[in-house]
Amino acid sequence: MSPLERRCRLLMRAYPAGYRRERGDEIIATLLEATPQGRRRPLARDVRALIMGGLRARAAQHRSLTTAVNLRLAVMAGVCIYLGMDAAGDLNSFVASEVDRAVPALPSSGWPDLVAGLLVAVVVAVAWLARRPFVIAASLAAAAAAATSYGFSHDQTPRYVVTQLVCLAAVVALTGGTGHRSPAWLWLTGIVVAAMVLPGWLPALTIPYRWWNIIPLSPYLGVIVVAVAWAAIDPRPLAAVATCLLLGLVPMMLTNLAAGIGDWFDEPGLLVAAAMAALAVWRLRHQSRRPGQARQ
Amino acid sequence: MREPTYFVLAALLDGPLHGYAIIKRAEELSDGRVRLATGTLYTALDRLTDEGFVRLVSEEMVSGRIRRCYGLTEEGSAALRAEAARMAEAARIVTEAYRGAAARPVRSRRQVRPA
Repeated sequence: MSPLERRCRLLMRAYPAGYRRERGDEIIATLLEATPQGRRRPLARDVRALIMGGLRARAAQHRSLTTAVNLRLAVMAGVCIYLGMDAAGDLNSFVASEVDRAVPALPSSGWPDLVAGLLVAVVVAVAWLARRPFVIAASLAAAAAAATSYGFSHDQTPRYVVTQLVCLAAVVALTGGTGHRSPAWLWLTGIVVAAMVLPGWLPALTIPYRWWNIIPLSPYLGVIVVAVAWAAIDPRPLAAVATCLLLGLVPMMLTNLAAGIGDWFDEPGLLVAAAMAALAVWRLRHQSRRPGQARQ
Repeated sequence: MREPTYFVLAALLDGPLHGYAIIKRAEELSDGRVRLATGTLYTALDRLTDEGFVRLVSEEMVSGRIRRCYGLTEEGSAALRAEAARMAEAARIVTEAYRGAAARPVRSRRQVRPA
């Protein structure tokens, strides 16, 4: 394979895998013919057009699916983002209790947290990559580990473990039915979790906490702004982020209401998440394929 | 209809062509104005196929690589004719306006009154 062809194949990664399987060789053949003899790299305008074409093809993927299928995928991504953040929280608890000597030792062991966090992370991965029996097995193992971790914990409230168990059950339920799961969703989950979690970890290493404390919500706001902007092209990430926020906020509100503290309108984040969910569903209904309509 | 789309359809007037041949033919027909990038061509072909203006005519293997030929459909041909007629009409309006202006006698700005 010539260096030119290798670079062309690399550029084709901008397109979704299904599109590459169907059209990749044909586009590369045309690209090789259209590139002047002796060049080792494709022309700049070809590079630009391939990247833009690939992004357009990726953005158009959801238009061939029905609203129900798109919503199912988005909700599952939201659940996975929530579980991913849970796993990151478990890892944080482990580091705080077993590794970080600067923090006073916590009364409970961090090892159950680590096991539960790792198993939840496995569930998030297999939800997009593996067949359903693996998802069920991993979810059962993670649920057992989460319950055990809660049993060992002295400071965890039941709300977290109940939400985690509900999320694990939701993953199992949502992976049923038709396919359409793909590794691209795992990338989305990973990127959103990293964007929300890593900035909270980095300041401890790099920036004095008092500075970071001024803008504690900025990772969330960044993710929300990007998801809302991207909704013009594909509203599913917005639906996923809204689902994740609702999973964090609704149980908290229910717990508070049960304890007689505050009411639904005390938490502005809840209203924001509900508005995001409504916007995403509205856009999805416009952009998705209608049930009777032929697939493009 | 955008100019590249117009010339992609126009390139297929003489019969089905494969991707690179469409790029070359569109460049020839437009006197070098429309130089389609490969990604742009396939985005346009996808859209035109979805709209029913272009269809896949044949597939063959050339030097171990797949080569697909695309042709105009009836709808594509009609859309191309309609666009050509629209542009001809738009050009006619402007051309006749200039012709009329050229035929009118040129008046001086200021009438000089004889003494």
